[in-house]
Amino acid sequence: MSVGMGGCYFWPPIIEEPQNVPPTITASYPAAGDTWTLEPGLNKAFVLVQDPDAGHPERLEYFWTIGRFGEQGTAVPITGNEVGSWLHLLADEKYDGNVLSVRVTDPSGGADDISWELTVPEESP
Amino acid sequence: MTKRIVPLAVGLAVGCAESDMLAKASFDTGAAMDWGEDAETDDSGPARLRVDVVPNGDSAYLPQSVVFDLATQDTATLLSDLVVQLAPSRTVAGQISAFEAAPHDDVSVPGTLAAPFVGRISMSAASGLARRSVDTRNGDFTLRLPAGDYRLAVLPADSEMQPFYILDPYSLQQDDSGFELSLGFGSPVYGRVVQTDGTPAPGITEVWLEDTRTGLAGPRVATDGEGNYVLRAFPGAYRVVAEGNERSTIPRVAASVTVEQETATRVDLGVGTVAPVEASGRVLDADGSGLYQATIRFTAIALDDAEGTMVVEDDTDSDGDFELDVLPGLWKVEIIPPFDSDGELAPVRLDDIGVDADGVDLGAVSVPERVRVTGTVASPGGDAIGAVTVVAREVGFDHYVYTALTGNNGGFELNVPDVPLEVAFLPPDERHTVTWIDYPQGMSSREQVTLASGLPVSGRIRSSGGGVGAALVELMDADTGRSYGSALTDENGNFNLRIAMDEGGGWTETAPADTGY
Repeated sequence: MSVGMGGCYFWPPIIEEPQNVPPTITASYPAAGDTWTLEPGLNKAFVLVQDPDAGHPERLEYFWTIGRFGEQGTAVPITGNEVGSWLHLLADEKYDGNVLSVRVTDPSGGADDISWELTVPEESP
Repeated sequence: MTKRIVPLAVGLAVGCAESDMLAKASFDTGAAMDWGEDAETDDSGPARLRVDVVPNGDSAYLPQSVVFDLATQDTATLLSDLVVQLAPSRTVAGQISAFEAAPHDDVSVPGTLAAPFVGRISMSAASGLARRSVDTRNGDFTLRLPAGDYRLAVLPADSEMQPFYILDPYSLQQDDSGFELSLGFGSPVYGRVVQTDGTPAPGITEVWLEDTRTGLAGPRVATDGEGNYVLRAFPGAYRVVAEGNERSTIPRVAASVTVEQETATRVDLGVGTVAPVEASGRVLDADGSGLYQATIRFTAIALDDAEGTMVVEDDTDSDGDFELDVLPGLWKVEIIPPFDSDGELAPVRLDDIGVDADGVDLGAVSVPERVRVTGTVASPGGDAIGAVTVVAREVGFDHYVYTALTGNNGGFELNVPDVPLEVAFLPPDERHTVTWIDYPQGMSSREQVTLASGLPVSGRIRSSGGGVGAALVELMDADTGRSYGSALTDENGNFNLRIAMDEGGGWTETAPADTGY
């Protein structure tokens, strides 16, 4: 005996899930791969970021870290016609030889990063 | 080619005239300025506007600053077309030679034994970002900086034998590949760092000179076992500063000195009575567990028997314990958890901690949790503003920054320490004003913020080749270092923002409306 079941075939509406484009660091100071020598006083580093599908670019998150010293607490976001983040850092000999990194993430988990080796001259020659 | 010969002192150290000073310690710790320090909050407005420019690292230009005198021009007009022409990069290279005041070969014939200059050459603009230094072991050096006027400091590694020298101004307008400098002997400044009873301060003391006019510090020398030191410098006004090295508990003391040609000047520095004692304790997190790598900073308010100022700092171990050497007296203690943007811990300050001759045990100290602040941000017209970045910066401690973002209804939620804060509200576009508000008592749990009206700033960063894109621009009060706001230039070098300044150059609306401050 064979039984044939009737019915119709149905394709649900196709929902296109947009592909997340991760943020991209397009410019920085210092340049990528440079060694950054911290001079006495205040030093400033920054990254400029593009992320066309992040929605509000202010929702990008930036994590600045220095080697074993972990996350740095003095980063300031930049808003306006261009977006990014900058960090001010005082020369401290304990940072000498460590790597400063910044990682930018978007709300969907896309990310980009950049890093620099730090050199800090001794306080007295 | 540039050739500069510093006149040699005719007399040697053994033949110099002497002037003696027994200096009473002073308590001047030197001026500190800029974003790394606590900016002053004078709301009378800046007399001078400083613009820091940090070009993209791939560009041919270097970080530099330009200062505008607001007293001589109309503020609104200046800000409507704020053009900064970047100075091109220039190279100075050359050779520094030196003599040693005491020859190695025959001590009976004091003379001029040529010696290579070993040390550091440092160049810095009077204010701002342009500064660079390099160490040399044979006197040869090369530095690259933006064209401009600088203070050039020569810092010998052996400052007992070779003098500390400042060339101010040194104008670097074109490449200078023939810089030559012959250091003379300078004049000796010598003395002892002693306790009240005349014995040397226990441990190693470092001593150095600070040029009074420029504030530049010379290289450091360590005292010998009797507390003696010798430094060398050229005629001028200086401060002699002494402080224990990182392994000795000796406060910072200073005295003024005028160095004269061919004159040896004696300056003894008194540090009172130095009798280190132990300060200990344990730092706990909110769960009662020991907190690892918390910074412990003791800052002396008044020392009982010692003179001068003192800051002692250490980190907690993996159990949250700390032990450090301090001196009897009254102290301020800061306990600062390691920064964690998603964390809950806050720094804490303990005022008026008395330390007696037996030391002090602070016991278990729990760091507080951050407090939850909710608020709204509105325009001067009362409209809620979304996508405003709220940036709260600690006043004191380690100046940590905490951020949040307003929603479409202008609301924000921020977890911040209950400590004095400077808070910047960064709007998403230049139609609204970057507004700074001081919260000297910390933020309350509910804040309503109205952005200042402010003034629009339209500017351009230019080079000889046109606009400079992808550059960080920060506007600040040149005298206090307080920031107005920052922006990045577009591909044409343009930037726009609106800052909390009135047309007279004064600050606008820098106090929270709901605290009465």
